[in-house]
Amino acid sequence: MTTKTTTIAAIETHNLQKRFGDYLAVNNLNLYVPKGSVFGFLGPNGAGKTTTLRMLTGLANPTAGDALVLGESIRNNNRSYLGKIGFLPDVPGFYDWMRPHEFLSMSGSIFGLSGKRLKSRVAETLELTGLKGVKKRIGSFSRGMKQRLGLAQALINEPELVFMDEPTSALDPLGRKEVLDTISKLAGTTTIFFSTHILNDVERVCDTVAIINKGALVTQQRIQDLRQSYSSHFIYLELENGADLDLGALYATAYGSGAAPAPGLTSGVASTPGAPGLAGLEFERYREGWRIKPSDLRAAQKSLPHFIAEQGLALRRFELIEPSLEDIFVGLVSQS
Amino acid sequence: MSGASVFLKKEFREILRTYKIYVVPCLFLFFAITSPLIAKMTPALVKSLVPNMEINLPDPKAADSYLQLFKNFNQIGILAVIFTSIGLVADEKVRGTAILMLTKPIPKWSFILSKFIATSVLVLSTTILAYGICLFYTFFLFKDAMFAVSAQAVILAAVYYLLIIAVTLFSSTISRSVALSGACSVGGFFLLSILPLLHKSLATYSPGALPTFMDKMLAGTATFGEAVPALIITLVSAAVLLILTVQIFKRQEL
Repeated sequence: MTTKTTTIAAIETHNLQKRFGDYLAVNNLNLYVPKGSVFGFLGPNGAGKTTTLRMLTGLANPTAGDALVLGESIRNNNRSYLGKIGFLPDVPGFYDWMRPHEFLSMSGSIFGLSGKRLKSRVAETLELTGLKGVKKRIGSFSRGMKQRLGLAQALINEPELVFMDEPTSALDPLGRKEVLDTISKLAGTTTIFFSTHILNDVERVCDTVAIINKGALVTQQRIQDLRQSYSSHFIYLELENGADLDLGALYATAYGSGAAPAPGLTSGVASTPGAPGLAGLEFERYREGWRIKPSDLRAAQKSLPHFIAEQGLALRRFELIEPSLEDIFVGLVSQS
Repeated sequence: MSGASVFLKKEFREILRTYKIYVVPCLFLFFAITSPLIAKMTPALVKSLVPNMEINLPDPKAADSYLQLFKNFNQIGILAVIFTSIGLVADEKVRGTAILMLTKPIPKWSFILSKFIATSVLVLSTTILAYGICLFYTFFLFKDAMFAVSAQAVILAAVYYLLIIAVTLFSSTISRSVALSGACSVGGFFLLSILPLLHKSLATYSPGALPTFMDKMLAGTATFGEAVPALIITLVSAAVLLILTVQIFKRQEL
């Protein structure tokens, strides 16, 4: 399901496609990135995230379809929008012989900055990324420092739109927090297109998310809408004294008498009508107990404790679990 | 400043701040100093090596000094130019610097032309400086500078080196690695060198004829006018190759 709002788009893709021989890396992708949003672009490895980014930043040409970046088409090698964007690749490459302020000064000059404005932007971005006072050559930088310098150069021109490809993957926890804080500060004024597989980062800073798999869009929604759309809660339960659920009895209750689980079964789906609240439940071993996904949450909240009590067992934990973005992501990608 | 001029400035700074400023200039200046000396001392050296044998060697002349210089330039010198230039584009692609630069408003043509201009300025200024030193040193040792002929030979050399730089830049652009770029560049240089041996017209009109014309002019067996067709063909070849390189790079995906 894709949500499309009426806000102005920073990026719009229309059936964007990229093919390498027989391999379809990006398959009719339709994205809508609202201006000012922090847009999480999620997908497993090989899903087509970097290929999409390469097309949107002018590094590769689409095989078919089109995309509008800040209102300008990316087709026909159009590079006129590059002055208004910033780009941080996953592994930014620098000239080892340069020093950070020299690289930023050069980057700013390319965007037409000069004089006091250039100097102040270099100082601001160095400060923002924690590189103020670092005079050594970039060749001696750690990967984390290079990533921060990459962020600085992506912001030097105060871009309307910043593309980031896995911006936190090489950073230590502190550096990661700083980058995410920086992104949060930019939210609202600058559109951030943030490709990542770190779901915690997306949950923390993004307001909208698109999930792609095998080059195709699985869903695009605001994160809060996504949670509501896939808000099927789980019940996690543990029994006292390490006791286990009587699967035979659970099956019999769920399916009706005579039903029994296969030997060694640790998960399953009771899909036929049985006892109210237990019919159609899905269950699997989870941590010390069981994770149960009922088809009717309210009925299961009443039936399960009753069922367990009937078995002569005592509950140690019985809690409702809201699905994390990871749960939703894994679920959606598996389905697609 | 436009993106193109900023990138050109970066290319010059890169030459001044890396090993590139040492390799070609040091080698060419070394040849400039040693070539006249070797030309002057070779007969005496040969005689001293075989003292009991009567050897009649012609007296060394100013031309020998330049012949020695251009022999060194056109072999080891060109290989040095190639090996300092093979990474011009390939290295930027491999290291990812091209990605950072080309997602900024730098025209792709200027990415290639900046590299050609900066490398050409380095090689040609070094060649002219080395020639100037050799000229002075030759006059000092031989009391004859052969200025007109040697200057014409330098013009041929300069144009030939422009083509070598264009070949290297082309190889670096079409290659996915620096090693492959090196192999293609040396292969291109080898091809240019053997073409004159394949056919009589190629010996007169192909770019690879220019080093032979340099030798012949210094030996007094050819004139500059005879080398002009090969000179023009070399210039046109360099220009065509450069245009082709830009067109290929424009279509390349990074």
